[in-house]
Amino acid sequence: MNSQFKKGVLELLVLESVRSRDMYGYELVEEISEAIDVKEGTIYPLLKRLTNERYFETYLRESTEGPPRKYYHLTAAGVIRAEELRREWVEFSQGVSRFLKERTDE
Amino acid sequence: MNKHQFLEELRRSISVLEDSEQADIINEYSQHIDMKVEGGMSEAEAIEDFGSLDQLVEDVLAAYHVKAPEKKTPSDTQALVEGSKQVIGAAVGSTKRGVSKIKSATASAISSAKAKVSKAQAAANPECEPGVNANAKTSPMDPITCKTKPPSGAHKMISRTASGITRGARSLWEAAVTIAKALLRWCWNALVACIALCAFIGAICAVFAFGFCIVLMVQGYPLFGVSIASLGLIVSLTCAGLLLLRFVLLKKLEGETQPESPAIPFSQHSNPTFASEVI
Repeated sequence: MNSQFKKGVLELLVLESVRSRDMYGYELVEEISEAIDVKEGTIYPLLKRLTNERYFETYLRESTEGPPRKYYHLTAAGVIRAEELRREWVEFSQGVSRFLKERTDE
Repeated sequence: MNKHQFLEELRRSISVLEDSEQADIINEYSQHIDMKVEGGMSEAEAIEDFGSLDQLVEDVLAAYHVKAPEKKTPSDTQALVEGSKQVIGAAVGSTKRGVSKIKSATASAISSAKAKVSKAQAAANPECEPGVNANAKTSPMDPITCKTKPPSGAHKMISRTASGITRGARSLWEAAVTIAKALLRWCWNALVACIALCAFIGAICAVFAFGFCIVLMVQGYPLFGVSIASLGLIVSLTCAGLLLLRFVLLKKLEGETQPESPAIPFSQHSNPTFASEVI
Protein backbone atom coordinates (compact mmCIF):
# COMPACT_ATOMS: atom_id res chain seq x y z
CA MET A 1 0.00 0.00 0.00
CA ASN A 2 1.14 3.51 -0.79
CA SER A 3 2.99 4.85 2.26
CA GLN A 4 1.74 8.38 1.65
CA PHE A 5 -1.82 7.12 2.02
CA LYS A 6 -0.96 5.47 5.29
CA LYS A 7 0.82 8.40 6.83
CA GLY A 8 -2.23 10.59 6.77
CA VAL A 9 -4.68 7.95 7.94
CA LEU A 10 -2.45 6.51 10.64
CA GLU A 11 -2.97 9.50 12.90
CA LEU A 12 -6.73 9.05 12.70
CA LEU A 13 -6.47 5.35 13.48
CA VAL A 14 -4.17 5.92 16.44
CA LEU A 15 -6.38 8.63 17.90
CA GLU A 16 -9.52 6.60 17.41
CA SER A 17 -8.15 3.43 18.98
CA VAL A 18 -6.94 5.23 22.10
CA ARG A 19 -10.25 7.06 22.31
CA SER A 20 -12.15 3.92 23.35
CA ARG A 21 -9.70 2.96 26.10
CA ASP A 22 -6.19 3.80 27.32
CA MET A 23 -3.54 1.64 25.71
CA TYR A 24 0.15 1.00 25.89
CA GLY A 25 2.38 1.19 22.86
CA TYR A 26 2.65 -2.46 21.95
CA GLU A 27 -1.07 -3.05 22.30
CA LEU A 28 -1.78 -0.11 20.04
CA VAL A 29 0.69 -1.24 17.42
CA GLU A 30 -0.86 -4.72 17.42
CA GLU A 31 -4.35 -3.36 16.99
CA ILE A 32 -3.45 -1.04 14.16
CA SER A 33 -1.25 -3.48 12.29
CA GLU A 34 -4.20 -5.85 12.29
CA ALA A 35 -6.27 -3.28 10.45
CA ILE A 36 -3.70 -2.05 7.96
CA ASP A 37 -0.31 -3.29 6.97
CA VAL A 38 1.97 -0.81 8.63
CA LYS A 39 5.59 -0.81 9.69
CA GLU A 40 5.55 -1.01 13.46
CA GLY A 41 8.39 1.44 13.83
CA THR A 42 6.37 4.29 12.37
CA ILE A 43 3.72 4.22 15.08
CA TYR A 44 6.01 5.10 17.98
CA PRO A 45 7.24 8.35 16.45
CA LEU A 46 3.64 9.21 15.73
CA LEU A 47 2.70 8.58 19.37
CA LYS A 48 5.61 10.75 20.38
CA ARG A 49 4.51 13.56 18.11
CA LEU A 50 0.89 13.39 19.22
CA THR A 51 2.04 13.43 22.84
CA ASN A 52 4.23 16.45 22.14
CA GLU A 53 1.24 18.16 20.54
CA ARG A 54 -0.78 17.46 23.72
CA TYR A 55 -3.26 15.12 22.06
CA PHE A 56 -2.08 12.32 24.33
CA GLU A 57 -1.21 12.13 28.00
CA THR A 58 0.97 9.30 29.22
CA TYR A 59 1.20 7.53 32.55
CA LEU A 60 3.04 4.46 33.80
CA ARG A 61 1.17 1.46 35.15
CA GLU A 62 2.66 -1.67 36.66
CA SER A 63 2.13 -4.86 34.71
CA THR A 64 2.08 -8.40 36.01
CA GLU A 65 4.81 -9.40 33.61
CA GLY A 66 7.87 -7.26 32.94
CA PRO A 67 8.53 -3.55 33.58
CA PRO A 68 5.78 -0.89 33.99
CA ARG A 69 4.04 0.05 30.77
CA LYS A 70 3.48 3.49 29.42
CA TYR A 71 -0.20 4.03 28.75
CA TYR A 72 -1.56 6.62 26.36
CA HIS A 73 -4.71 8.54 27.19
CA LEU A 74 -6.55 10.82 24.79
CA THR A 75 -6.89 14.44 26.02
CA ALA A 76 -9.78 16.77 25.27
CA ALA A 77 -7.69 18.31 22.50
CA GLY A 78 -7.11 14.80 21.19
CA VAL A 79 -10.84 14.09 21.08
CA ILE A 80 -11.41 17.26 19.09
CA ARG A 81 -8.57 16.38 16.76
CA ALA A 82 -9.95 12.86 16.28
CA GLU A 83 -13.40 14.23 15.44
CA GLU A 84 -11.89 16.65 12.96
CA LEU A 85 -9.81 13.97 11.26
CA ARG A 86 -12.74 11.58 11.14
CA ARG A 87 -14.92 14.21 9.47
CA GLU A 88 -12.17 15.05 7.02
CA TRP A 89 -11.62 11.40 6.24
CA VAL A 90 -15.30 10.64 5.63
CA GLU A 91 -15.61 13.64 3.37
CA PHE A 92 -12.43 12.76 1.54
CA SER A 93 -13.18 9.04 1.10
CA GLN A 94 -16.75 9.73 -0.01
CA GLY A 95 -15.46 12.21 -2.54
CA VAL A 96 -12.89 9.75 -3.84
CA SER A 97 -15.34 6.83 -4.09
CA ARG A 98 -17.96 9.00 -5.82
CA PHE A 99 -15.33 10.11 -8.27
CA LEU A 100 -14.18 6.55 -8.91
CA LYS A 101 -17.76 5.28 -9.26
CA GLU A 102 -18.54 7.89 -11.91
CA ARG A 103 -15.47 6.80 -13.87
CA THR A 104 -16.31 3.09 -13.75
CA ASP A 105 -19.97 3.70 -14.73
CA GLU A 106 -19.01 5.59 -17.85
CA MET B 1 21.07 -7.32 14.13
CA ASN B 2 20.17 -8.18 17.72
CA LYS B 3 18.26 -6.06 20.20
CA HIS B 4 21.33 -4.60 21.84
CA GLN B 5 22.86 -3.53 18.54
CA PHE B 6 19.61 -2.07 17.32
CA LEU B 7 19.06 -0.01 20.47
CA GLU B 8 22.68 1.17 20.47
CA GLU B 9 22.36 2.27 16.86
CA LEU B 10 19.08 3.98 17.58
CA ARG B 11 20.49 5.79 20.60
CA ARG B 12 23.43 7.06 18.56
CA SER B 13 21.13 8.33 15.84
CA ILE B 14 18.86 10.26 18.19
CA SER B 15 21.64 11.61 20.39
CA VAL B 16 20.57 15.17 19.53
CA LEU B 17 17.51 14.73 21.73
CA GLU B 18 17.44 15.27 25.48
CA ASP B 19 18.64 12.35 27.58
CA SER B 20 15.26 11.75 29.17
CA GLU B 21 13.55 11.64 25.76
CA GLN B 22 16.21 9.29 24.41
CA ALA B 23 15.70 6.96 27.35
CA ASP B 24 11.96 7.12 26.82
CA ILE B 25 12.21 6.16 23.16
CA ILE B 26 14.76 3.41 23.79
CA ASN B 27 12.58 2.03 26.55
CA GLU B 28 9.53 1.95 24.29
CA TYR B 29 11.31 0.06 21.51
CA SER B 30 13.03 -2.28 23.91
CA GLN B 31 9.71 -3.19 25.49
CA HIS B 32 8.18 -3.74 22.08
CA ILE B 33 10.94 -6.14 21.11
CA ASP B 34 10.63 -7.95 24.43
CA MET B 35 6.93 -8.48 23.88
CA LYS B 36 7.48 -9.71 20.36
CA VAL B 37 10.02 -12.18 21.66
CA GLU B 38 7.56 -13.34 24.32
CA GLY B 39 5.03 -13.89 21.55
CA GLY B 40 7.41 -16.38 19.93
CA MET B 41 9.37 -14.19 17.52
CA SER B 42 13.12 -13.90 17.34
CA GLU B 43 14.81 -10.57 18.11
CA ALA B 44 15.93 -10.22 14.52
CA GLU B 45 12.40 -10.70 13.18
CA ALA B 46 10.99 -8.23 15.65
CA ILE B 47 13.55 -5.65 14.59
CA GLU B 48 12.88 -6.34 10.95
CA ASP B 49 9.25 -5.42 11.52
CA PHE B 50 10.32 -1.89 12.41
CA GLY B 51 11.49 -1.33 8.85
CA SER B 52 14.67 0.50 8.04
CA LEU B 53 16.45 2.20 10.90
CA ASP B 54 17.11 5.34 8.87
CA GLN B 55 13.42 5.78 8.16
CA LEU B 56 12.66 5.14 11.81
CA VAL B 57 15.14 7.74 13.00
CA GLU B 58 13.82 10.20 10.47
CA ASP B 59 10.28 9.70 11.77
CA VAL B 60 11.35 9.99 15.39
CA LEU B 61 13.25 13.19 14.78
CA ALA B 62 10.40 14.57 12.69
CA ALA B 63 8.17 14.11 15.73
CA TYR B 64 10.41 16.54 17.62
CA HIS B 65 10.84 18.81 14.67
CA VAL B 66 7.17 19.60 14.94
CA LYS B 67 7.69 20.66 18.51
CA ALA B 68 10.65 22.91 17.82
CA PRO B 69 8.75 25.97 16.44
CA GLU B 70 6.36 25.85 19.42
CA LYS B 71 9.31 26.21 21.74
CA LYS B 72 10.79 28.99 19.69
CA THR B 73 8.05 31.56 20.08
CA PRO B 74 8.56 32.37 23.77
CA SER B 75 12.33 32.40 23.42
CA ASP B 76 12.03 34.97 20.62
CA THR B 77 10.78 37.58 23.04
CA GLN B 78 13.42 36.47 25.49
CA ALA B 79 16.05 37.04 22.85
CA LEU B 80 14.61 40.49 22.25
CA VAL B 81 14.83 41.31 25.93
CA GLU B 82 18.34 39.87 26.10
CA GLY B 83 19.34 41.92 23.07
CA SER B 84 18.03 45.13 24.54
CA LYS B 85 19.78 44.31 27.81
CA GLN B 86 23.03 43.84 25.94
CA VAL B 87 22.61 47.11 24.06
CA ILE B 88 21.94 48.97 27.28
CA GLY B 89 24.78 47.17 29.01
CA ALA B 90 27.13 48.23 26.21
CA ALA B 91 25.89 51.80 26.47
CA VAL B 92 26.44 51.80 30.21
CA GLY B 93 29.89 50.31 29.70
CA SER B 94 30.82 53.01 27.21
CA THR B 95 29.56 55.63 29.64
CA LYS B 96 31.72 54.18 32.36
CA ARG B 97 34.70 54.18 30.05
CA GLY B 98 34.01 57.81 29.16
CA VAL B 99 33.68 58.70 32.82
CA SER B 100 36.96 57.01 33.68
CA LYS B 101 38.61 58.88 30.79
CA ILE B 102 37.29 62.15 32.10
CA LYS B 103 38.42 61.24 35.57
CA SER B 104 41.96 60.48 34.50
CA ALA B 105 42.02 63.62 32.39
CA THR B 106 40.73 65.76 35.22
CA ALA B 107 43.14 64.11 37.63
CA SER B 108 46.10 65.09 35.50
CA ALA B 109 44.55 68.49 34.94
CA ILE B 110 44.10 68.88 38.67
CA SER B 111 47.69 67.98 39.39
CA SER B 112 48.94 70.49 36.84
CA ALA B 113 46.42 72.97 38.16
CA LYS B 114 47.65 72.42 41.68
CA ALA B 115 51.17 73.15 40.59
CA LYS B 116 49.97 76.32 38.92
CA VAL B 117 47.87 77.21 41.92
CA SER B 118 50.81 76.96 44.26
CA LYS B 119 52.75 79.16 41.87
CA ALA B 120 49.89 81.60 41.57
CA GLN B 121 49.34 81.66 45.31
CA ALA B 122 52.99 82.39 45.77
CA ALA B 123 52.78 85.16 43.18
CA ALA B 124 49.42 86.75 43.84
CA ASN B 125 46.97 85.75 46.57
CA PRO B 126 43.94 87.89 45.62
CA GLU B 127 43.26 85.57 42.65
CA CYS B 128 41.93 82.80 44.87
CA GLU B 129 38.90 84.54 46.23
CA PRO B 130 36.30 82.09 47.46
CA GLY B 131 33.59 83.79 45.38
CA VAL B 132 35.25 82.96 42.04
CA ASN B 133 33.64 79.68 41.06
CA ALA B 134 33.68 80.17 37.33
CA ASN B 135 35.61 76.96 36.67
CA ALA B 136 33.02 74.85 38.47
CA LYS B 137 30.81 75.32 35.43
CA THR B 138 33.40 74.29 32.88
CA SER B 139 34.63 71.20 34.73
CA PRO B 140 32.17 69.93 37.29
CA MET B 141 34.14 66.76 37.95
CA ASP B 142 36.92 68.36 39.98
CA PRO B 143 35.90 69.93 43.26
CA ILE B 144 39.46 70.79 44.28
CA THR B 145 40.05 73.53 41.72
CA CYS B 146 37.15 75.58 43.00
CA LYS B 147 39.31 78.42 44.15
CA THR B 148 41.27 78.99 40.96
CA LYS B 149 40.61 79.66 37.33
CA PRO B 150 40.92 76.47 35.29
CA PRO B 151 44.28 76.16 33.66
CA SER B 152 44.20 76.05 29.87
CA GLY B 153 45.85 72.59 29.91
CA ALA B 154 42.86 71.11 31.65
CA HIS B 155 40.55 72.64 29.05
CA LYS B 156 42.45 70.98 26.23
CA MET B 157 42.49 67.62 27.94
CA ILE B 158 38.80 67.75 28.63
CA SER B 159 37.90 68.73 25.08
CA ARG B 160 40.03 65.88 23.73
CA THR B 161 38.42 63.29 25.96
CA ALA B 162 35.03 64.82 25.31
CA SER B 163 35.42 64.27 21.56
CA GLY B 164 36.38 60.69 22.43
CA ILE B 165 33.22 60.04 24.31
CA THR B 166 30.82 61.86 21.97
CA ARG B 167 30.33 58.65 20.02
CA GLY B 168 29.31 56.75 23.14
CA ALA B 169 27.25 59.71 24.25
CA ARG B 170 25.36 59.77 20.97
CA SER B 171 24.39 56.12 21.26
CA LEU B 172 23.43 56.78 24.85
CA TRP B 173 21.41 59.80 23.79
CA GLU B 174 18.86 57.69 21.96
CA ALA B 175 18.46 55.42 24.96
CA ALA B 176 18.15 58.45 27.20
CA VAL B 177 15.46 59.95 24.97
CA THR B 178 13.34 56.81 25.17
CA ILE B 179 13.85 56.70 28.93
CA ALA B 180 12.95 60.35 29.25
CA LYS B 181 9.83 59.70 27.20
CA ALA B 182 8.86 56.79 29.42
CA LEU B 183 9.49 58.85 32.55
CA LEU B 184 7.53 61.77 31.11
CA ARG B 185 4.66 59.47 30.27
CA TRP B 186 4.76 58.03 33.75
CA CYS B 187 4.79 61.49 35.31
CA TRP B 188 1.92 62.57 33.08
CA ASN B 189 -0.07 59.52 34.07
CA ALA B 190 0.61 60.17 37.75
CA LEU B 191 -0.48 63.79 37.32
CA VAL B 192 -3.70 62.81 35.57
CA ALA B 193 -4.36 60.19 38.23
CA CYS B 194 -3.85 62.84 40.93
CA ILE B 195 -6.30 65.15 39.21
CA ALA B 196 -8.79 62.30 38.95
CA LEU B 197 -8.35 61.61 42.66
CA CYS B 198 -8.98 65.30 43.44
CA ALA B 199 -12.12 65.16 41.32
CA PHE B 200 -13.36 62.16 43.26
CA ILE B 201 -12.66 63.84 46.57
CA GLY B 202 -14.51 66.92 45.31
CA ALA B 203 -17.42 64.73 44.29
CA ILE B 204 -17.58 63.22 47.79
CA CYS B 205 -17.53 66.73 49.30
CA ALA B 206 -20.32 67.75 46.93
CA VAL B 207 -22.38 64.75 48.07
CA PHE B 208 -21.90 65.92 51.64
CA ALA B 209 -22.84 69.51 50.74
CA PHE B 210 -25.89 68.29 48.85
CA GLY B 211 -27.15 66.34 51.87
CA PHE B 212 -26.45 69.31 54.12
CA CYS B 213 -28.38 71.67 51.82
CA ILE B 214 -31.33 69.30 51.55
CA VAL B 215 -31.60 69.05 55.31
CA LEU B 216 -31.42 72.84 55.69
CA MET B 217 -33.91 73.32 52.84
CA VAL B 218 -36.42 71.06 54.61
CA GLN B 219 -36.01 73.28 57.66
CA GLY B 220 -37.06 76.26 55.60
CA TYR B 221 -33.77 77.79 54.42
CA PRO B 222 -33.78 79.07 50.79
CA LEU B 223 -31.05 76.72 49.56
CA PHE B 224 -32.71 75.25 46.49
CA GLY B 225 -30.21 76.79 44.05
CA VAL B 226 -27.21 75.70 46.09
CA SER B 227 -28.43 72.10 46.38
CA ILE B 228 -29.06 71.94 42.62
CA ALA B 229 -25.56 73.31 42.06
CA SER B 230 -24.03 70.71 44.39
CA LEU B 231 -25.95 67.95 42.59
CA GLY B 232 -24.48 69.20 39.33
CA LEU B 233 -21.03 69.23 40.93
CA ILE B 234 -21.42 65.61 42.05
CA VAL B 235 -22.29 64.43 38.55
CA SER B 236 -19.71 66.51 36.71
CA LEU B 237 -16.83 65.75 39.11
CA THR B 238 -17.56 62.02 39.07
CA CYS B 239 -17.70 62.03 35.28
CA ALA B 240 -14.49 64.02 35.02
CA GLY B 241 -12.71 61.69 37.44
CA LEU B 242 -13.86 58.58 35.59
CA LEU B 243 -12.86 60.05 32.24
CA LEU B 244 -9.39 60.95 33.47
CA LEU B 245 -8.94 57.56 35.09
CA ARG B 246 -9.98 55.82 31.90
CA PHE B 247 -7.47 57.90 29.98
CA VAL B 248 -4.67 56.83 32.33
CA LEU B 249 -5.67 53.18 32.27
CA LEU B 250 -5.85 53.12 28.48
CA LYS B 251 -2.43 54.72 28.26
CA LYS B 252 -1.08 52.15 30.67
CA LEU B 253 -2.44 49.29 28.61
CA GLU B 254 -0.81 50.75 25.54
CA GLY B 255 2.45 51.11 27.42
CA GLU B 256 2.33 47.47 28.48
CA THR B 257 2.04 46.28 24.93
CA GLN B 258 5.23 48.08 23.98
CA PRO B 259 8.38 45.99 24.45
CA GLU B 260 10.27 48.95 25.91
CA SER B 261 9.08 48.40 29.45
CA PRO B 262 11.88 46.02 30.54
CA ALA B 263 14.45 48.60 29.45
CA ILE B 264 13.25 51.24 31.88
CA PRO B 265 14.94 50.03 35.09
CA PHE B 266 18.32 49.96 33.39
CA SER B 267 17.94 53.33 31.87
CA GLN B 268 16.83 54.91 35.09
CA HIS B 269 20.10 53.99 36.63
CA SER B 270 22.18 54.90 33.60
CA ASN B 271 20.42 58.23 33.21
CA PRO B 272 22.07 60.15 36.09
CA THR B 273 25.58 59.16 35.04
CA PHE B 274 24.75 60.30 31.55
CA ALA B 275 23.34 63.61 32.69
CA SER B 276 26.38 64.42 34.79
CA GLU B 277 28.67 63.56 31.94
CA VAL B 278 27.17 65.33 28.95
CA ILE B 279 27.85 68.82 30.23
